[in-house]
Amino acid sequence: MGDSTIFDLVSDELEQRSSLSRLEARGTVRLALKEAGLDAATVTVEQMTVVLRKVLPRELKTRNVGDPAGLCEALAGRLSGLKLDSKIGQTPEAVFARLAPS
Amino acid sequence: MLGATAGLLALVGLVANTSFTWILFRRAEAWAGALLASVGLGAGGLFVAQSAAGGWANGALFWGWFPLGIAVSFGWAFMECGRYHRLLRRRLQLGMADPVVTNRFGLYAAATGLAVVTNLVGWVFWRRHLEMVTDPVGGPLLLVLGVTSSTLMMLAFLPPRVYLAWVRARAPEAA
Repeated sequence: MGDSTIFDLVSDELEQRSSLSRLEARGTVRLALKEAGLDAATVTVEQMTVVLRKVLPRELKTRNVGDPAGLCEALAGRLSGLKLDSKIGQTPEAVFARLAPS
Repeated sequence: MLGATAGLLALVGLVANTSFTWILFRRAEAWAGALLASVGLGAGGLFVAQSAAGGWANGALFWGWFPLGIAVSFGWAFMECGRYHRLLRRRLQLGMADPVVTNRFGLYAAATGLAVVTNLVGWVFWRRHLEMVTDPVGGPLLLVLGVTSSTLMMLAFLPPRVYLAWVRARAPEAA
């Protein structure tokens, strides 16, 4: 499965707004997603927004990127207006949630 | 006739269980479709071969190899659910997962793991021509494995309210 549009967008923006190379930017976002238990192919806007606010700033700080919190907030702002087809109803957790009361 | 019916029902169950894992986790991936097809065609082939050879009263060919399909099917479910459970535990820390659903994946992983163990133990008894149910070791072992697996499945899909409350109470606070 290929990487999602959301992953590509955030990685490209990070590359443009920081000193990270394309490979470094994509690798950093991928690592942040992995730490959050997410995948670059299936991440949703809502999930990526949480990662941008809670995980990625730490990753950027360890790579000496200036103002990581501000940069991540700007990236989250870019995502906020994004409208994409959501497949959230077909995810394994959505199916398991429907199989029994929670 | 009874032996063939049991074989057919086992075949249907095996394909249904493998399909569930495929649909839930890997429906877009070619290797997973190939694995599902292999399990289905392999078990179907065994059924046809046993029917052609006759001897369903014992079904040595079918029941001798069928546990391999069960091991693959439930082993796959165990690995996928275990992996997803780990992912959801990380998401839970960030407030991106429901604690009950996260727990449900863990319970299902444990239940399917026990199914693999039960299947392998049963296969060993069958190969040794021992009746597991009446065996002094096999009987209690089957009881423990069966009851534990059923309890895990019940907690996963028919959970009492008190259990749900307990799972929610011990869930970590989102960071």
